[in-house]
Amino acid sequence: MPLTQPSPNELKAIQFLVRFKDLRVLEIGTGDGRLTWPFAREAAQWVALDPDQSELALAAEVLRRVSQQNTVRLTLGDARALGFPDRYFDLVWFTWSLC
Amino acid sequence: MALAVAEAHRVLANTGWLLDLHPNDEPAALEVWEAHFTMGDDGQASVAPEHLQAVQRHPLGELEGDPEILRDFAFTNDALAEALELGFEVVHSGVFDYYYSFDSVDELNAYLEDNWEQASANDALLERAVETLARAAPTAKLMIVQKVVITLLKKF
Repeated sequence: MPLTQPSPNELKAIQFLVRFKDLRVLEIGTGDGRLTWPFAREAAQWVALDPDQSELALAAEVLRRVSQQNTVRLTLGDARALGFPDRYFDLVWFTWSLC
Repeated sequence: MALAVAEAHRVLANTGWLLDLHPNDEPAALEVWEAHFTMGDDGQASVAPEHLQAVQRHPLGELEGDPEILRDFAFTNDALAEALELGFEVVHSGVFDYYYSFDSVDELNAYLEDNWEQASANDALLERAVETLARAAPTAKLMIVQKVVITLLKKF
């Protein structure tokens, strides 16, 4: 199965706005990790949250394929009740999920 | 959505960032593209950069969007606008095109059935797609063009 990844336009739009280097990032709606693995390695910490266990399993497999299984913490959860401390992250990213 | 934005505000450091990508609330468009395509690592066709200016695009019409789902996308825009009252300011808001490519109408239909609960192609649109593909170069692709909103907010 081909590795899913951002489209060129999508990549350009994201990179124009954000540098993930050294940031603590919370990605909400990680799905199959399409938008996770291209960027997670730059960050200081990357937490990828999704309410769907089967999607997280897909993301885990993708991260293994790109040798980033130790870079990203995959978490089952709900964006409406995040189990994280106040003021912990530098960036919160809703990846096609706030809808 | 408002709850999710409020939670994002809570867990963000002061001057932290909220980044959002979501489809906009317009139906996606269907087109036929004639260009030189290369295959990316993801198996998706990409227009070779040197040919990007030479892409010939044939608009066919719009997919029929599910009104409820399109409404959800509009509500997302509202949720982000309301975020400003929570303690965010807008750094950037823009739109880019997201493309899905297919080699045939059958491939398009199969994809819509399996993956796109929010849209469908009616018979007239599919007929135009078949006719346009028949007239186009053999390497032509059917393209769904979906507008995606990208927003960057800063917490203050």
